[in-house]
Amino acid sequence: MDSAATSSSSSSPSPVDYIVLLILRPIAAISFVFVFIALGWLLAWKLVLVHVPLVQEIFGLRKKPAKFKPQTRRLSRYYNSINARNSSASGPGQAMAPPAQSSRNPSPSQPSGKGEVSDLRSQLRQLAGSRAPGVDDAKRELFKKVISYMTIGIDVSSLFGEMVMCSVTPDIVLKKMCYLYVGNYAKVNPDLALLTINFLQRDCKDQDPMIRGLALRSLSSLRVANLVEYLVGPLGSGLKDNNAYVRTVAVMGALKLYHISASTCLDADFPAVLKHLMLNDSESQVVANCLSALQEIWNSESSTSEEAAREKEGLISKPFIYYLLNRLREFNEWGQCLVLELVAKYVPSDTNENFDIMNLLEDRLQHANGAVVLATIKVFLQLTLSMADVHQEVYERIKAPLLTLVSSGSPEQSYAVLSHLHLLVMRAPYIFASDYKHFYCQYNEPSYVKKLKLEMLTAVANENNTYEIVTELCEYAANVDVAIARESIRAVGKIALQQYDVNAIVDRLLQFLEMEKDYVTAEALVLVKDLLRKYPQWSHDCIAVVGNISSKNVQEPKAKAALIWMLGEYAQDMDDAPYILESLVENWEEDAPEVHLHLLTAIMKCFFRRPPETQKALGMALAAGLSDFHQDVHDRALFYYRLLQYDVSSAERVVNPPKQAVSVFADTQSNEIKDRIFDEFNSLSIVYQKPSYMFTDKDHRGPFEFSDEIGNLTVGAESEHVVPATSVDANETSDLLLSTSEKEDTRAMVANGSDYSAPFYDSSNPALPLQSELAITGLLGAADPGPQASTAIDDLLMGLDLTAPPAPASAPPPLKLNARAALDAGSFQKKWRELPVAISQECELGSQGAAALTSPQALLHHMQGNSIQCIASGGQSPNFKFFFFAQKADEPSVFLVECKINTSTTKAQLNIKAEDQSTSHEFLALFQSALSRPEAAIMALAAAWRRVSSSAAGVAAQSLPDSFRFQQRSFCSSATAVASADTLLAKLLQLSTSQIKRALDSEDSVVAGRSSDLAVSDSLVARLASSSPQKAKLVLEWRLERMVNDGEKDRSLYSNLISLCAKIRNVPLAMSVFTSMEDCGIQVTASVFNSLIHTCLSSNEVITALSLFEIMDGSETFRPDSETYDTFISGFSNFRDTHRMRAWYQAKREAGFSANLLNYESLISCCVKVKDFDTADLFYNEMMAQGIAPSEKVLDSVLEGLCKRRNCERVKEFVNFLMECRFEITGSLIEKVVKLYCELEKPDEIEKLLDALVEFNQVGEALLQVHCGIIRLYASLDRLDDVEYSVGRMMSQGMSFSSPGDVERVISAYFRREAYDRLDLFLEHVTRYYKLTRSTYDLLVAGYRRAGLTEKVDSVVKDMESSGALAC
Amino acid sequence: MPVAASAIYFLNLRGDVLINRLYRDDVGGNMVDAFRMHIMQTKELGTCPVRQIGGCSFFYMRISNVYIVIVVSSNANVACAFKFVVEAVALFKSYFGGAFDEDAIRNNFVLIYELLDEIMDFGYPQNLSPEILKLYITQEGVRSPFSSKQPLDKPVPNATLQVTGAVGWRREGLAYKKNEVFLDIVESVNLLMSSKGSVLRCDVTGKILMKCFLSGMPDLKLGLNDKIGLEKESQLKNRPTKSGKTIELDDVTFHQCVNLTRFNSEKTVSFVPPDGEFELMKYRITEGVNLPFRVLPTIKELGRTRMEVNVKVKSVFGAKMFALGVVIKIPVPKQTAKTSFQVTSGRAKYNASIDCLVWKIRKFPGQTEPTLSAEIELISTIAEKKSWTRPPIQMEFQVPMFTASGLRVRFLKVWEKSGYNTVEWVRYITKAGSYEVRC
Repeated sequence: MDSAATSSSSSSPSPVDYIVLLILRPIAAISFVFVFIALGWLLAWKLVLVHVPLVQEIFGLRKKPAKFKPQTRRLSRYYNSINARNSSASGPGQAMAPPAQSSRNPSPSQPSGKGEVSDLRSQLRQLAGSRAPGVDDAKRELFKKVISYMTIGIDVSSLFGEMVMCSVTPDIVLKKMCYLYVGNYAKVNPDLALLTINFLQRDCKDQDPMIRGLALRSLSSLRVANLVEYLVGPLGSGLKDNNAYVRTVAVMGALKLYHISASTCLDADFPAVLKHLMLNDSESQVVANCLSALQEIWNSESSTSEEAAREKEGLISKPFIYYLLNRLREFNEWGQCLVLELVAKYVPSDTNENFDIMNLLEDRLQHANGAVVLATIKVFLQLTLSMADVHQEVYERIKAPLLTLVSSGSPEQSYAVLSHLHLLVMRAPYIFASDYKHFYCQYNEPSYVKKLKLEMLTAVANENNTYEIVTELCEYAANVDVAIARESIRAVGKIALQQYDVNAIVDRLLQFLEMEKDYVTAEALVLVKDLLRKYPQWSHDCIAVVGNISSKNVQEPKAKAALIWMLGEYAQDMDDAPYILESLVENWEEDAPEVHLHLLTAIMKCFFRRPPETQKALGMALAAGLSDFHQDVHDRALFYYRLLQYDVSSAERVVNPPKQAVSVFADTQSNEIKDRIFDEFNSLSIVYQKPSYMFTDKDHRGPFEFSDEIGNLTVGAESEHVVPATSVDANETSDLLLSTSEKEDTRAMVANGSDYSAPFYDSSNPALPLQSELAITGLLGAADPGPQASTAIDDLLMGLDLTAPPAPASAPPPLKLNARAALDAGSFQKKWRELPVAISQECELGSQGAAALTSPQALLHHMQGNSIQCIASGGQSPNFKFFFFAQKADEPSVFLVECKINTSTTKAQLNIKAEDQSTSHEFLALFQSALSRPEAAIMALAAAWRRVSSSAAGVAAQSLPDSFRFQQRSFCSSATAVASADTLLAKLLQLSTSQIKRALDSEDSVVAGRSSDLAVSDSLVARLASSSPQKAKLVLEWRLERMVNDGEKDRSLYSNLISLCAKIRNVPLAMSVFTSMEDCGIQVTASVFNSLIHTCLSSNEVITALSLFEIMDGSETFRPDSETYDTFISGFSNFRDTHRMRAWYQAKREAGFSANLLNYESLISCCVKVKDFDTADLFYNEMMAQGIAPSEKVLDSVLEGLCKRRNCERVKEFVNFLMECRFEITGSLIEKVVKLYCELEKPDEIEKLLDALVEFNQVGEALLQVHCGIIRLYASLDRLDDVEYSVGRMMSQGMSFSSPGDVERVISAYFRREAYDRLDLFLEHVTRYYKLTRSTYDLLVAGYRRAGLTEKVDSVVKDMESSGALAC
Repeated sequence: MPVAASAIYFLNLRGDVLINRLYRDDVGGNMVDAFRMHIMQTKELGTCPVRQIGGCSFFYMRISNVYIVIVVSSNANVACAFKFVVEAVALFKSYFGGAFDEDAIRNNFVLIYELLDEIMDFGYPQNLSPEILKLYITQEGVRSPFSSKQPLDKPVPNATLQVTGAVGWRREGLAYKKNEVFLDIVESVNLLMSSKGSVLRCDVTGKILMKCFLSGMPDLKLGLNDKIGLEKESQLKNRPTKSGKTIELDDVTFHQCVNLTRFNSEKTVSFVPPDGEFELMKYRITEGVNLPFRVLPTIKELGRTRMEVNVKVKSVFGAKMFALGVVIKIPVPKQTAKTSFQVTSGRAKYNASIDCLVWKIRKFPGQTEPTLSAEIELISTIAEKKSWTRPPIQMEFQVPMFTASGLRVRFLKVWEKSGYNTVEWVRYITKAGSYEVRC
């Protein structure tokens, strides 16, 4: 069957089959394929193509990035969070029907705030008309949303209309929300606000008093000026409402109306209505509100209207006050505050009334509300102001409630109360003295509370409780809160300044200094300073401790200033004061202007006491001050400079007059202001501690804030005393006057010849200004110590010492001397060299006089009395050495005397030189008589000198040897120069300029222009150039003449001559050499030009040099060569002009020359000098990359750069690199490193360096440098054990000290530690290999003398004599 | 007439405004920005709660994670402002069921707006008493007495009269089945003891908390064993004072319900109590305080890296009593590396976040002295040469049925017209205030 069927169907296919076969199947197949393809495309489209930018572009798929407003995003977030919370919260308030779904999920196409707002609008519209049940809940939810938007700052004012429409509802919660909304936006939408008036007015007539009140409040809160007319009616009826709630609201409404439109309020006669209500209403809240409203209204009206003023007075009239007091208990706590505030203004007519009120109010002190208590306290205080004894009782009475308030409530509340308590404590500390324990701080209290408590603790300290209080305060000094720790230290200081028994407190303060915490030290320093100003008698103890503080540990300007002040004030008691000050000046840039001012003053003070030691620092400080950016610092430096220039002793009187101890430090606030603050008790004034006008009036606020800052800068009256130069107060003026009158006395005494007590205080010597001027010019250049500086010191010394009036010569010998002779040190030296010794003689001194001659000063003054001036002096007993000079009265001829006096043998060795040889014997006679004759005078002088020097604590005596030393040195150096130079030079030097050429002619054989002698003549010119360029020029001119005359053709000679010209920086001469060379027909070459350019650059004629270069550039025969560029590079490097230098360097490379070592030397050293370290590094790397081995100079510069950057790590690396590469480590190189480590106080690093040096077998100077560096550093750190160890190590390696400075440092360290035995040991050790210098002996003498070890002093002096240190 | 506030802001810790209310126009709307700029975003936060910026003064308080800022432009009454904030927060808490934080504010901002409108008007505090406000400001407006569900034409009951009524703190017509009064005397002891064991400072601040569930308008009278009260009583009744401890109160403050006039004249505490919970009185005592605990610490620094701490805590109250939740925080240096303990009671552990050893004893019987001995290893740091500043040892505890001051309630009498019987419950508890012992 089956087969039959199939066979039948296959045999006879029906038409349907045909259709299926022919049409449907293909269609199905095709559609299947198409569907497949379409699906593939769809997939491709969805997955890939939509993301292809081009496709997006074509199909317009690229969406404009939607700009979300930030607030909008916040809104949606906030919105979502609210929704989330609402749905999760199960509170009854949330158990409402959720609003329409659409608002919950804002469609992503409309994410903006506008969208949400408009969403809300449409929903509100839907709900507005509907009266369906549950619509209120939906509305409420919507309103809530609107208000939440409003709160977070989204402008929903556009919904105004819809909101108003919706507000027609009996639901009070909805109404309230609507009122809130309206109140918020009415002001910005006055037109729309009009819409609300209607329904608000209707609500004001509602039966429900609650709604009446709310509507009235909203109506009055609209704050729209043109709507006030609609307000008057409802307010009027509200005030007469029979419900108290409405009345309380209406009263406030009237006040609001007054603030919107005062005239409308007054016209409607609301004040009168309010007054009536206030006096008659049964509700206390209505009365309270009336009271506040009327107070405000009448207060502001009283200035224009007399009636209002009268009414205002009426408020504090007796009947009214009594009316309020009688009803006081009806008021709630806030109302009571209000009433009490008013009562405080009332002035009772008699004392009985006073007591009545107080009795009535006493129970209020027990009230739980702190505000009420404070208000009551204010009443009590104000009432009893006129009754002193009762006032005290009031304090006693209010103490307990106040303390309770302080200890209860939140910290903020107790702060408010504490501020008031603080005021009272300040007014009457003794009353609170027994309660000091209440002011102890708790650990967890906030700092503002602690601060007030600390102030109160300070205030209540008296004889009985000081010990406990100070102990407690010291506990706080270790507080974690640094601000509080500082405050507590300050508090200790303040107590010390208040109290009589400061003994224990001073000890405590000094303990603070030893706590080694930066801020503690800082605060303590400031306090010690103030303490010393009040109790100078403590200076000894304090200074001992203060002296141990390293200025490096003190960073705060205030503390630093205090330390500097002490250094200046007690310079004589602190050994290294000048050196500390000097190191401070070196780091000038690091400090604040405040510190600079103090530093200047301190250095001045120190200078007056210890001139030679401070001189260098003073010069540096003045120079730094003059270039300081801060105007005060600059002005002060200039002031001091001029003062010194004018007269040194006057300067001392101005800068460092004797001071009186400060008895009372001025209070910062005047009593008037304090009283004003007190009158404003229970207000902000108390917290701010300033009267209200200062912070509420616009006019006052600005200046007050400013003055507040000023006050912070100079707390108390400190600055006046510390900075006398700027503000000379009355005290000091009188001091100044005093000293002038003393001076008058002194001068009278001098005239009598009876006494000579104050030879320092006279400035009538006209020679002095000149000398001090010289001194000052020296001062500014004193940063580089050289002969100039040393002479300046001498001058400065003279400026100080030579101030006694030269009396006319007492004996009338044939020779008259000029009493006012003047000779500066330079010309003295010149003359001393030039003149032959006229007479050399030994003479006897009177034994008495010799015995009295304990210091050189005594003799000086005496000799001055005989018109013989001293230019330098020095020595210790028994050996003294003086250089004197004198001038004839009528002619400029001078006598010079070297005088060595030995007081033990009473002999004087005189060497006299005279310009006028004929009178030298007469002068000798005069000098001898002056020296020997008036022994009594010398003795008197000596005594006087002792007095002076003891008053200056022996500082001057100690300082003098130094000056002598300097003098010696400069003499020695010139002497050696003279001795070692060849005879010609000596001759040339001695000859006057006019004679030079003649001399040279005669010495032809020596200075011939021949090449063989070039070296000689070069050295000659070089030496001459340094001492006398004029002469050098003459020599060169002479040589040129010779060469021209001889017709010399050797180009190198001319070239050489030109480069010699560069040495004396004489371009014209070089030019003339050049022209004469051309004249001789010699072909000029590039090298000649190079020499010329070098000359030009060295004499700073850049333009000439450049034009020379242009000539070269344009020529054929002498094109600029590599050397030309080198010349320019090194020239600009000398100018420190990196910019041009680099330009030339660039030019050189462009010209096809490669850079050489010399270029890099110049480039790197210049860059380092201008502190352009990065560029220097660049060049260095470049040089290394080119394979140029660095020269010593380059290494030096690079290292210097590293050191200047204080980059320890890189310095270390660099040094290691040097050693590994087997460069020779020179002394100067290592010196820099050592200096850096010393500055950074890194002994470990130096030790490592030493190890490394030893490891790499570096010997010689470098190793010595490191050894000395280590010793220096340990010495400055006072680590004596380490010092001794390293000294031993150094010695064992066969090395010894290289400079006396290091030895002195070690000795000073011993002295500081007072380790005299160890010092002996050290000296014994050292002297085996090292010869002590004079200055070291001086130091030893000074140190032992200070320590009071006279035997030691003697032995040292003996050693000194035997070692011959004296003689040199 | 100093106002209390011109505007009030509620900010979260980030400085977002949660709620703001401008009461007066004398401060600008952008004032909160100034606050944010100058206080919140600077280190100034927390240095002083009163600050002036521009012409405006800002008072701010942090309560949980919310800053409440009051802005004024005039010379305002600070104490009043702070008190207002504290009271307002108490009010909010009573509405929200105890919690006051950012979430609570966000969930209830409509209610807070309502309340802010009621409690202050134009800068003057109005009425902050929760009892009254709850009458007409309710969380569910629907059930408010004046809601739409009440017939509109009926005159409203005298609720508003109560709003401003003379006995502002109590509603009339209260009725309870069981009339009960709970009286809690809570004292907190503040102690500062030196390392040598001498008391530097010691005082007790106590408060009497009441919970009243009484019908009608009862009149209550409270008798304590304070000196003045007893003396006065003996004078009045002409009876010799009973022997026993009498307490001298340094200072007392009372809830506004207490008739202060009567207290001043008769030295008795009589009052008509508010309904529910309230703080009846606060007092302060400095003399004759019984310290519940003595702490004897010995802390030895053994070299740079080791410390030894021995703390003995002695309970000096009666042996039958016991303290609960005793926590002793013993400070250790910051660089503590390792600690090992031995305690005779309780548990101790090292809490690195507060740099303290925290020793907890859940139940601490009287007249015992448990000890803790600990060894502490420190990380040796050369950089920090500074010696360790020792903060004080702090202690927390609660001792039920013990008063450090010795205060006792002698009687509590209740009079009411209807003459019902009342049940009185009295509890005592002593807590640690700032109980610090230096070491």
